[in-house]
Amino acid sequence: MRRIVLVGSGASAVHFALTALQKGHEVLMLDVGHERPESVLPGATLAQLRDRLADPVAYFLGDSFESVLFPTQGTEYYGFPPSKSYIFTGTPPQFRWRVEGFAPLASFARGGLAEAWTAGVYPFNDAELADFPFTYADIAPYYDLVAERIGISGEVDDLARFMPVHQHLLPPLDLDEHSSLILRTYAERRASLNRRLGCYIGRSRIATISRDREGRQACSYLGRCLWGCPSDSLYTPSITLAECRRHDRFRYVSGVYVRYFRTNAHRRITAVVVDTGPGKASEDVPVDTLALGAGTLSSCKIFLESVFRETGQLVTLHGRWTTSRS
Amino acid sequence: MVDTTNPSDVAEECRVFCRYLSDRPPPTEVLSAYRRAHQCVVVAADAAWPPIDAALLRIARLGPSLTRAADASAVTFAKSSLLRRKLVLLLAILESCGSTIGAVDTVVPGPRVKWAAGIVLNVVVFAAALGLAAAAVVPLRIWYRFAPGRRA
Repeated sequence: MRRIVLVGSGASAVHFALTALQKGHEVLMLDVGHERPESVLPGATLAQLRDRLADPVAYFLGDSFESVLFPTQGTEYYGFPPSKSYIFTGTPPQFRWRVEGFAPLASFARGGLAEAWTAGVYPFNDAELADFPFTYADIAPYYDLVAERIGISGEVDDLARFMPVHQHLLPPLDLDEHSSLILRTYAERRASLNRRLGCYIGRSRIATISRDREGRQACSYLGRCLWGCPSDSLYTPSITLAECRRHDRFRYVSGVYVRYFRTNAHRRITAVVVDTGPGKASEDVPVDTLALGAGTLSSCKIFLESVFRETGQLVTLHGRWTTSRS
Repeated sequence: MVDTTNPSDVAEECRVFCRYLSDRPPPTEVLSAYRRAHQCVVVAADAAWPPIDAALLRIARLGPSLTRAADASAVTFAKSSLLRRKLVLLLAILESCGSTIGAVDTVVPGPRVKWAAGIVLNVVVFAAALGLAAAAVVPLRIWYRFAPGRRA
């Protein structure tokens, strides 16, 4: 049995943890882990929220109207409802960045960035994996396993030619009137659309369950996906985190920020250095096996900062990406 | 320019804009939220706004028809103007309240011909409003651009 220290609680981290636990290992998860607020009126539909909440404007737009997206010249419309703001706020002061040419999103929420996803879930096909050292067939069993764990509803239809079909697809969700009309019309003109326009239409594959399973309710079409599904029908990593926490060999510690790891003379990782709060001294957490699952940016930062502290080396990718001492 | 510290100014503006957007007066909760937003400074009148924005807003506040004309001009020539911000804000408030969502987000059943006719009518009304607005706003823009001490 290994004692694994795992950093982060996003999608990769929680599934790594669950697999490690199922293989008999012990897992200590270190996370900043801002918590999701309680759902309001869990059984209410989106329309009922407008009627029943004492202040629906504050719920939908925020106390300071921070979720209203105002028109601005030349910038992207991209916003989140107040109920999801915990996912993007509370960035620790130690985590700073300067970017050029892309707009990074990072989260220190319990469950990570995927707490804000909208559940569209599609395997990479061989064309998309062309530059990777493996094919779809090599990783297909893992897609099957993840589909079984998280619950994906969908159908094998004309889109299968673009998106590989994995096992454990749940029956598809009901369609709204517009989508039904589009699919019916497509079915009537399918041959012509395929042949003349190369147009193929099918259902989305969604990590939202269409049947009750393992304490989660089947989607009841409340229409609150964007605001946070109150019945956990729409999968988020915090569901798997809750499953991990039911294991005796799992320990979750939130409120800590992992800065870097230490190595010994044999270049074995011996500890991670964590900050536990403002004004408190950093602490060492001993490590036998370390796994970084803190998202692309945070995991890279931990790794690169550790390399820098050990060797003084500034690692760069194509001469551009780097981390500097924080 | 609306005095955002004066509740009656903000309320009057809300009434006019609400008529334009939903064809009805604002219920109390909408009025209250609109006032609150002005205290949160997201749309507060500010000396940093160009005078042309203030002019557009004054025209828009005169009545729902003129709001339509000013909006047609703003959406075409000044997407991020103060008027557009206020209308976007009010629309968001109207969409958030159970008592007003139906007035701004309703499926209107009917035959396709009626639907297509509605689109055509909307385009015609928009074009007319834009023409009317352009007749008033273009000279104003020129004035603010070239008059001494003014900035567009």
